[in-house]
Amino acid sequence: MIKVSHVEKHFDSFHCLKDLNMTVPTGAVYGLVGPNGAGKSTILRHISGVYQPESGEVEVGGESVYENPLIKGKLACIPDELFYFTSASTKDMMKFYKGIYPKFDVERYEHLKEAFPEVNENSPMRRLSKGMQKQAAFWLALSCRPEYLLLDEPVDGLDPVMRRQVWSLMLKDVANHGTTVLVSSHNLRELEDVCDWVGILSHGSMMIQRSLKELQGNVVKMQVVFQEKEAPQFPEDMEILHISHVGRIHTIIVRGTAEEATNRLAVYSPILLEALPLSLEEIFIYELGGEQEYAVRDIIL
Amino acid sequence: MRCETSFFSLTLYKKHLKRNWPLWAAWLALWIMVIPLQIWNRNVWGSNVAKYVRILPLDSIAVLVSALAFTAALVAVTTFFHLFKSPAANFVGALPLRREGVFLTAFAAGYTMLVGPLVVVTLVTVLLEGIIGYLAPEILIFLAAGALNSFFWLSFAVLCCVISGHAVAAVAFYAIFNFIVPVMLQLVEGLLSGFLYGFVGFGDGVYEACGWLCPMLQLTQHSWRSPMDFNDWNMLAIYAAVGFLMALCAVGLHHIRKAERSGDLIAFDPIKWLFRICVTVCGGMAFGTLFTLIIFNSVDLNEGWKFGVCCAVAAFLCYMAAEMLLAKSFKVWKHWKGAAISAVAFILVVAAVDMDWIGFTTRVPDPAGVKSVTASFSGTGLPAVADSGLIFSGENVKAITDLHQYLVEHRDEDDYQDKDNYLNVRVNYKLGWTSLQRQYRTYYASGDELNQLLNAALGKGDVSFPYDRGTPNYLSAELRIPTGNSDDAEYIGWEISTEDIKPVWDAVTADVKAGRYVLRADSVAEDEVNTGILNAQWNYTAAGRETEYYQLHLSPELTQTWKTLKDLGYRDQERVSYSGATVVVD
Repeated sequence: MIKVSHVEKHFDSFHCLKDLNMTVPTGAVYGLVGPNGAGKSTILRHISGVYQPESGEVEVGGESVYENPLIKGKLACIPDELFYFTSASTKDMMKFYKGIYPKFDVERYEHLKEAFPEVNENSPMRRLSKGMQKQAAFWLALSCRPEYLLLDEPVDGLDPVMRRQVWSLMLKDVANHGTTVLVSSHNLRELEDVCDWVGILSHGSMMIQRSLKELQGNVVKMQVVFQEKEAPQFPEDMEILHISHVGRIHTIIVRGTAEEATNRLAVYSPILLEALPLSLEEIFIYELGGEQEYAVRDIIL
Repeated sequence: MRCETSFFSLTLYKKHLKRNWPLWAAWLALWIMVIPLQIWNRNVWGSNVAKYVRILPLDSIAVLVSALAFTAALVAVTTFFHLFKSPAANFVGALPLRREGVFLTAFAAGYTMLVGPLVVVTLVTVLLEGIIGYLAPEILIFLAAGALNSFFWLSFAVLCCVISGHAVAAVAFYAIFNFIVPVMLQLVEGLLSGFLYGFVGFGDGVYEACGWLCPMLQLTQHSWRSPMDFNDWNMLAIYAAVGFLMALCAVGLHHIRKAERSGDLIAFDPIKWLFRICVTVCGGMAFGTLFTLIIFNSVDLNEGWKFGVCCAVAAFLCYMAAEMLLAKSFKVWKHWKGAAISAVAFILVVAAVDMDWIGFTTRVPDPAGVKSVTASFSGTGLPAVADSGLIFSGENVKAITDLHQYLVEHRDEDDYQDKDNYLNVRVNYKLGWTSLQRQYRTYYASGDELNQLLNAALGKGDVSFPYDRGTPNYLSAELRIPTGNSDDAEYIGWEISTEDIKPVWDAVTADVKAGRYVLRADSVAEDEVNTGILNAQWNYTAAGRETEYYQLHLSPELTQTWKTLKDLGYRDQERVSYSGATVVVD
């Protein structure tokens, strides 16, 4: 389990992480989403043991990760900015990782060659394309046999086939070895397919952290046509995240289950009342819509 | 033990060596060419190979020291690559290695890259010497000096790398730290000498101490003359010890260094303040002087306000430049307050010095509070003995404070017309636990007030004979007596034998104690009184084999001295002064 408790971090005068709490259950695929500058990469660097929290704790497997080589040996990271030694090839990096990571599996490395056929392991990494470099990074990371896989914008630059391929490899590791995957991404449609937990970060704090099922069950999109053209005044305790209408059809995003929302709106005797599930992207947009300066605006130029 | 829990990673060590091979290969090639290849060439084409194999390694040490200083900086920057770029910092930070492990591995790799090639060069040289039949141990001295010095330079460069988060800045700091202290010392001394009337300077002790803060000059100024030159060994050992402390400091700072500081000019907040202050102070003074020279053509220290304004402008600009470097941005106007405070501080300091707010230039000690004064006088018409230092104590102190007071009060007089004699005075007051030193250069005319005060002081000063420092070991002495007149002076000389030196000096001492040795300052009197010159040198075993030289102008009043010299047979003719008067000695 990865546990982040009350973590604070400043970069000069910028308060990057504010009392951040987060829990990633063992064997989960946890999607970390949030707007740009929310602190996703920063918390990933804390969890990988690169940054030291100013206060609070970052624990992996029940132990503090900072300056803990034993725990770090169980982690593999693919950062947003890849690093490799000048003129080193994938094979050179493999030899390096083999000496550094205690569980590095050379056999697996050889097997994974098939999964990444386009990557020339003897070619210097700096000569590979961005997508190829990303593939090489996955190849090396998965060969480390990590218990925890930290991925920062991991599939950026990969073609759709390769994306599917790497997700398939990772999910196989989750299923077979109980690997915990923490992934930050802006590709919410993709996360929706693979994640079972989601955390939404905003301004350095964890806004929402739930299982995807729970998250999707907790916000519902209602499409309603009332008797009158205008929508009635809704009670104050009904938590409406967003309301819009096209003609007489009102679309209302309400916090709560579909059943609750249906019951509460039924009292207005609508002509039409239908509950629709929200995609992760919609949840992300409507949840953050309540945040200051983060509403979706229609901008016409 | 697996590297993940170790303080050293063999994998990372090998990686450092492998990825930086061009650097150490070039270093190896350089020294192969400098030593074994030269020996081989000399063996094939030259002569005196036996001497050459002994001299070449020792002569190469000065070059080695300079080259090491340069190469160590490159090595430090390449092996500590993770300190400078964010992706590298994140990569290394995420590896299952302790920070100390990363540091020690990189340091060990760097040291290997510097010393490894020297070991190879030594082995090749020994092999070559064995083949040509001239084995000499000097190459081992070369290796030992290289190993010690590598440690210092590498530690120094690594400390700069750890402090900075930018490779170019780290190298720049390394270069600046090598020379900044003596340069600033010279600049400050020059400015204070101009502003503070009577300022003596920092003295040799300060320069000697500061010389150690300029390792490049300190180490390269030494040339190895023999394998057993302990001064050189001491110097290398001291710098290696300093290197050890620097390495400790670096490992400590590396441990607490935040990974997110990679790319910053300075990686630690408290050191940022030090950086701002140093850039402002050093830049303010250096560029202030430069601006004054450019705008006003010269640094006229009588018009201190010009210098003050230039320094303030320079300090303001330097503070802003420091902020720009720290922020890596030109938009630093919000820091104008700090820059303005720096400028005002500079104006205040220059005004304080120029207007002598602390009373430095006007300070003349109260004779009652002075334990003793040592004063030396030189210039036209002054006896040479006065330059060796006269001692004033008790009531006689007032004579020197009166002279000092006159000099201070007439500091602004620049009417040197009709004043043919120049005078240099240096005084050193002992005031209980403290001391006060001043030096002045001025002019006087025969018979004027300054001349009278000077003669009064000279008449009361005790010549600093060594009778209160134990019995010296007399080394040599000679007596020279002028013949003819001052326009055409010739000397007759006698070397005083070793056994006669002591009685002669006992006689001189007796004359001085009896008050027969009276000094005066004017050119006519000099001709009258200098009827002989006694040169002597001696040392004190107890005082650390300190050797002193002395020149005493013998006046006719030194009756005991003349009698002793006559008794010992060092003169057998009438003595004649420059002016032709015959001196009768009884």
